[in-house]
Order: sequence, then structure tokens, then C-alpha cells
Amino acid sequence: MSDHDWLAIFLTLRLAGLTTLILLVIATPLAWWMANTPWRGKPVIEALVALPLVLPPTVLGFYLLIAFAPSSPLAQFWLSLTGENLAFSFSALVIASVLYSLPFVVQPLQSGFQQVPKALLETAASLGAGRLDRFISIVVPLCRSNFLVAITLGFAHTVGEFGVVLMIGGNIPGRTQVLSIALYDRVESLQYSAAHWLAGGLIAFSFIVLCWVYRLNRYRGLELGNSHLPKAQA
Amino acid sequence: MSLLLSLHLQRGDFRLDIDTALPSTGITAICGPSGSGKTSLLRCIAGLDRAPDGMVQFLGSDWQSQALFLQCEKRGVGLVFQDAQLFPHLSVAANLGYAEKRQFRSIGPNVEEVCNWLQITALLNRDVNKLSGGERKRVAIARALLRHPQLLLMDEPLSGLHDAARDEMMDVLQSLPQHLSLPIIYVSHSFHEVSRLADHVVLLDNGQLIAEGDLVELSSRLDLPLSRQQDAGAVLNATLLGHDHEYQLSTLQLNTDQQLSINQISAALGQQLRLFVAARDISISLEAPTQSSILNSLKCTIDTIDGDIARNKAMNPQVTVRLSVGDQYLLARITRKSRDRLNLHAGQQVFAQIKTVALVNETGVAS
Repeated sequence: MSDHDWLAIFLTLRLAGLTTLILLVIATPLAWWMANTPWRGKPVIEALVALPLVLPPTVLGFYLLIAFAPSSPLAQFWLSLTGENLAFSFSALVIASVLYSLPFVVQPLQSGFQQVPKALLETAASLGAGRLDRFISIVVPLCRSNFLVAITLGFAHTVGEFGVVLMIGGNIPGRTQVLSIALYDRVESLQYSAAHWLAGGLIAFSFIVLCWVYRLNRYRGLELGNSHLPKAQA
Repeated sequence: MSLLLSLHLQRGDFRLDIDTALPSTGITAICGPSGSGKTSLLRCIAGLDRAPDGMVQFLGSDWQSQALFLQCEKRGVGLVFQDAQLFPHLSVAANLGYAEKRQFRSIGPNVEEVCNWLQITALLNRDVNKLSGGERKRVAIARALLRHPQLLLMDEPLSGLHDAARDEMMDVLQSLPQHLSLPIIYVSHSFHEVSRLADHVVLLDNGQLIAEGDLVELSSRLDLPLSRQQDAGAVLNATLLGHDHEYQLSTLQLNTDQQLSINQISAALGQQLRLFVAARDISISLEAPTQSSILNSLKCTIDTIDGDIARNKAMNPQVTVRLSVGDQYLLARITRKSRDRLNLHAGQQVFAQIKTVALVNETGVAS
């Protein structure tokens, strides 16, 4: 494999890692809120979060392309905040990946949170645990495998991203050229042996990750029961 | 009187209306049929539910007022749910440790003491998911005590236990006040269960407080639904007077000049005892029975007779007679026919023959 390929692999891992980290920070409170709110408008939010599951990635990519264009308010704001252009940047890829992989992290967490018995949390409150304390001492350990599944799916799904990146990335090696795009490039230029390495590697990686996720799903039944994989994979 | 409550809560068709002051010492029982609002009341006291515009004040400090609602975790209440609610991801010891780490105050028992009281020392390293129902509840109580609460709330702690485990649990609960002076509010649907534990009773029905007061006094009141229950009966106070070693009996002094015999017990002379006499175990005769196998016969005065008419307005085959023995009362359930045949009426002097006397509690130390 060429340096170019390695560059793409590292960039992809960096993108997936950072995306997963950000997603954990965003999705955890969002999933907790969705699992507990009595608000009637909840289905609307749930549908919004789940949209990337059903939309062609190019749709999301198209709107993000417009949003990241140098003249857009978001890009202007980003420029004034960071001094960096959003268009064709790594940051743009991260933002897009966060949106695109959101349901893969939110859904396993939400289904885990919903299964934590309320009475356990009330008991913890009576024992002196405040909100955050209850979340950390009761919810997180009980939903440990949900977190693992969410992290794994979020990471793996970002690695497998193609359509959105194709629309907004710009294919700049070392900056925005991720693995799936590099593969596309190899195929376009008829470098089949390099393409085999990348494609085969991705298959092996994804297969191992999914085996791990399904194994977690099987054993977590001991704790709270039931499967919680997202319904569809776009 | 230092748990002040003013709680009004509407939940669909159900309405809770409570305005009262409960004692801040001893065991107070909240008793009533299912759906009467016992658990709702307990949850409002604990701070798990909020009755709009309600008021909860404990020992002078506000838990809920117009301006303030103290969260459950700030109230310093120990809470024991019906189904233990042990944390499944923690061992028994870690469940106890959870409370110990978050103690409300420094004064209180340590893990070793609590484990001894509740006989759970042997369970400490066990997985909570492998405990029996009774063991789970004992661990839950231990955990609540290790919080060092200022008020302990228990919701039907005996529910779901088989008979042997219930008895064991009851013994544990009865022994608690010997170890620590902690006000306890105990919710139960069974007055019989409550009669073994509580000093003060609050009766709820359909969200309303229908009576409140001393257990002994409430148990014999004919105007309360208690006296209409199948297992109705009166609670009596008595003092242990002596033992008859030949026949393995113990003699008890009611607080009049009258005495009762029960199967021999091991308590010390002078010990205060609480007795329960079921209404269906008493028969009434006009003269002192001389040739009867029944040992216990008390001279009483008929106070009131009630229960001719059942709740459904039909005539009852049976009536309940309230008998006064000194300053205490007995309830007797006899047929309406017997009442008419003997022409029983209030003020009349009769003899109550008591078939069974149950010892429910040793209420204090020997004096």
C-alpha cells in the first residue's frame, strides 16, 4: 500500500475517533432526554435524529455543502471563531460525520436508558445520590454494554461513510481523503490491487466490529434484556 | 407531633387529601386498602412525588412549602420499597457501601452493627441477584439504615414473602427500635401486621384520612372499617404477672383487676405486652361460666353493638359488640340471633369468653 493509502487510513481513524467522542458528549444527554421526557413532541425529535438512517447520504451531503459554502452564515461564523475555512476542511468532515452517525449512537443509548427501572433511581436518590451521581453510579454501569455498542457502531459507521464525504470533502489527501474515497480513487484509476487491500481491509474490520457488537448484545441480556441495534443501516 | 403534612393531589379519578401531623418518634403505620393512597402519601413525604401547593415539614424544617421543594436526596429519608430495589450491578457489600458513602449524617450505626441486626453478615459477598426474597428485603433495610436517615419510610416490607420469611422479617422489624431511635413510617394494607409494630396509626380510605391515633384505641372503634373486616379484633395492653410452670401458662394482668392466661412466654415479670384478641374468638354469656374448657373469661360491660347492616345495606347475620374491660376494649362478633335471644344491650354486664389470645409484641422493657 502506498503512503497515500496509509494517510487515508490514519485520517479515517482520526475522523472516526473524534466523531465518536463528540457524539458521546452530544448523544448521551440527548438520549437521556429522549428516554425520559413526557413531552408530546418527542417523536418529531426522534424522527429528526433517525433521518440519516433512511436518507441517501447525498441528500445530507448536498445541504451540508451549501451550509459549508464560504458565503453561508455558518461558514462565516466558523471563520470568525477559528480563522479557518469550513469548506473542504477536516472540521467539516467531523461535523458531517457527527450528524450522519448520530442515530447509531443515540438509539442504543436511548433503548438502554429506557430499561433502567425508575425505582432504582428513586432508591439511589433516597440514598443521597443527586442527578449526576445517579447517572454515573447507576445508569452508566447498567447501560455499560449499550455504551460499548453505541461507541462501536458510531465509530464503524463513520469509517464506512462515503456519500456525505464525497459531496463535501473535496478529496484532499491528508486532509479530507478518507478510506472509502481513496478506494473509489483506486478503482477509478484501475489500481485494482491497491483497491483490494483497502476494500478487503474494510470488510475484515467491519466484520470483526459487528461480531463484537452482536456478542455484546447477546450477553447484555443478563443485565437489562432486549436487543437495541438500530433498525436500519443506511 | 412533628411531621406536618398538607397534601392534595389529583391523579385522574383518584384524589389524595391529607392534612395532619404525625409523630416524629416511634413507628407510625399508614394503613388502608389498596388504592387508598398509602404509597402516594409516602412518595410525597419522600420527595419522589410533588403535590402542587402542598406542605411537608419535618422537625421544623421545610421539605416542601410554597417557595421550596427539597429533592428526595436532600431530605435524609431512608426508603424501603416493596421490592427491595437492590442495585443489580453491585454486590451486597457494595449496595451497603453505596449508602455508607452518601451518609446523611455522621451519627448512626456502622455496617457491622446493621448487618448483625438484620442477620445479613453472611450475605455480604453474595451477588444480589442470587438472594431470596427475604434476604433481599433485609439487605434493602440495612442499606436504608446505613444512609443514617432522620426518618425511615417503609412501603409494605412484608409483601411477597412466604409465611416463614414474613415471621422472620417481622421479628427483625420488631427488634429495630431496640437498636436505634429512628422515627419510622410504615405503610401496610394489613392492620393485623401493623398491630405488631406500630404505636400510632393513620387510616386511609380512598385518599382520605378517616382516623388517626393510638393503635390500641383505634383497633376497637366500631365506626371504622377495621371493625368490619373478617379478621377484626382488639389490641390490648397487659403486664406479665406470673408463670404457672406446671401447666406452662403465663398470667397477664390487664390494667384492671382482671387477668388472662396465655401459653407460657419467656419474658420477664412486669414486662409490658401487647395482645390481640380476634372478634370471632370471643363469645358472650350472661353469667360467669363455671364449667367450660375456656380459661379466659372477663367481666365486661357492653359499650355498643353495631354492624346490623352491612355496607351493601343488606341485613348482616352477625353483629359486632364492643365490650369495655376497665379502660380497654374488646370486640366480639356474635350472631344477630344471639344478641336478640340474650337481649343484649348497651350498659349491660356480661362475661366474655376468650378462646385465643395472641401475643403480638413486647412493647417495652420490664418495669
